[in-house]
Amino acid sequence: MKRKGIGKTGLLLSMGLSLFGCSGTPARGVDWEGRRLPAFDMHLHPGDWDEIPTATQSFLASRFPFPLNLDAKSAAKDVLSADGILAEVDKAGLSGAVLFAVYAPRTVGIATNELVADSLSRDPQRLFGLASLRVDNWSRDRDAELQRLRTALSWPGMVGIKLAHAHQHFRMDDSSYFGIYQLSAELQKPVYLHTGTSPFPGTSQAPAETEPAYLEPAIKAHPGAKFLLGHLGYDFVSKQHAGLQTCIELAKKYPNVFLEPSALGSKGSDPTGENLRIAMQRMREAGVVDRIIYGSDGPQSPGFVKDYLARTVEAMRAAGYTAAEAEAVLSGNFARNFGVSVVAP
Amino acid sequence: MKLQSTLAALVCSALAGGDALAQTVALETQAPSPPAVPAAADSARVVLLPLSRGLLADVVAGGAGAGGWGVTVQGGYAWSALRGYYGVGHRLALLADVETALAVRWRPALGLSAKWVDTARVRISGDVLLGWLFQSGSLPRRGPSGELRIRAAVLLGRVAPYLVLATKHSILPDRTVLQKADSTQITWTARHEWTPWGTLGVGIALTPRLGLDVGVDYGWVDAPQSVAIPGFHLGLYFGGASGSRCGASCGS
Repeated sequence: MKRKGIGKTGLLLSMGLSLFGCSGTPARGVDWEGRRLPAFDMHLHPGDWDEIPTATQSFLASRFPFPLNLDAKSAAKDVLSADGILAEVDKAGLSGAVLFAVYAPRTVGIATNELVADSLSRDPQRLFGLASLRVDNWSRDRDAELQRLRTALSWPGMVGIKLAHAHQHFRMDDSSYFGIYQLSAELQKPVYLHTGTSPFPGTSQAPAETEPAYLEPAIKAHPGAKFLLGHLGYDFVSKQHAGLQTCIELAKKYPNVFLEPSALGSKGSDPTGENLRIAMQRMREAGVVDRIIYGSDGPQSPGFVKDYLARTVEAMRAAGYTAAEAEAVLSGNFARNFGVSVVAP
Repeated sequence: MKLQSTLAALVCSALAGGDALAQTVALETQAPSPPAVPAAADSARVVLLPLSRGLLADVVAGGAGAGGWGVTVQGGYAWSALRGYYGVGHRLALLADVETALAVRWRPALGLSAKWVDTARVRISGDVLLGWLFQSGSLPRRGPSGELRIRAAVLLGRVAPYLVLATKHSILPDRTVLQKADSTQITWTARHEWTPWGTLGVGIALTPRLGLDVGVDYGWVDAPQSVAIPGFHLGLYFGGASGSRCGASCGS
């Protein structure tokens, strides 16, 4: 695959951002009391715009600044491609990132395992992937889908599994899907789960598909699988904490539960940054800092990845994190649990 | 009389900045009180308008007099426009605008421009426009649109820095068709799109009938929940001045 240019839109955007002093690639890592802490974003989405449902395309387009939103496909191409993501990762000073495959044809669309694997090949030292599978014809395709997932997890750089019950429309406590967790335990590939509501059109808001408490039977039944609870059960519709306490209690109760505070602290979901600060503070007070794994849920729009890292660092500072704790959250916990070496700054 | 006229022209021209390309000469046989050129004209007066008055002022600050007309072609990022006006009264002009953002968002509109303030150095006018919004691309939108606009310019010889402040409003109707097993339900909803607007620019008269316009634009489309990137434009204008008199304030 040839490296693509940043494109007309990217160039114009770069010019625009340069006017406001937003250009330049910072040094890798996060500055914390004179030290450079390595940071790794475990939650980024590559994508194929044409595989996204129309309603969701409009939703995503509305997140882009005017006039980039007039032709969101071109703008998205610049940030959703492997090269675009690497540019955002570099801009944020991250050591690397994890790219998610997604199979949610009725809501957020499809980013295939093959697309992710192809993206990882752009920089195998810094990019890793989570594979996924379709569940919309589960009674018919269960075995074939699990085999497809098993195959994808054998590809270089695939370090885990991505599921989103609310986007894929299946219950968290439905044991007919527990084969996915069995595979996770067998292959020692952690499984990431979207928890909480979602603003995307067509998403299920049913408690059994959004509230992390419904995951407990699966967590309890699969002690050998690592469950990473994405978004901390945040309610993205009302923009407030909903499942935070449940997530913390699950992490305290089960050693195979991990926590990921992505997206909930974005400018759109948490304008003041207070919700993210509360989340980081409560997790620290609960003594589960060693379970927190940083992710942003980017790239979303140009600059989001960098901005979310800055907001998370600010929230940790406000919550009194030590340098060692911040380093664990930003990269150490991920490296240890996903078996990945994080490149030092 | 001829000597007096020439002197008056020179004096007025000097007061207006010494502009050698002054465009309009108006002869008055009976000077009104107070005289526009007190030292040189007692029984007759020649008023020589600087370039920044007339066409340039009409283009950048609006409010053309009767018979005045002008067309401006602006190109830039993200906004481009074709604008025209025709003066129909002492302080009133008809407006016709077609604006586009990247040829994806279009808004043709018609309106009126009224001159509020008109001195030798300052022109301020207010515009009202009604039109229709068409937007294709990733976020299709269409619906009626209205705009209230204030334009102000400082007239400095052949250049005129100007400021445009506007508030644009569109009503975007949505038709939802719900097909059920036994019936089809159609519902209409509408939402309001607000676009506050600002342009800071400068008009430059090249000749009495031709000039340039350059400026920076900020149109915050769908404020306040959205984000917008500022833009810029370069324009070319041409037309004819209304032949309006400088008025009592000329050269003051």
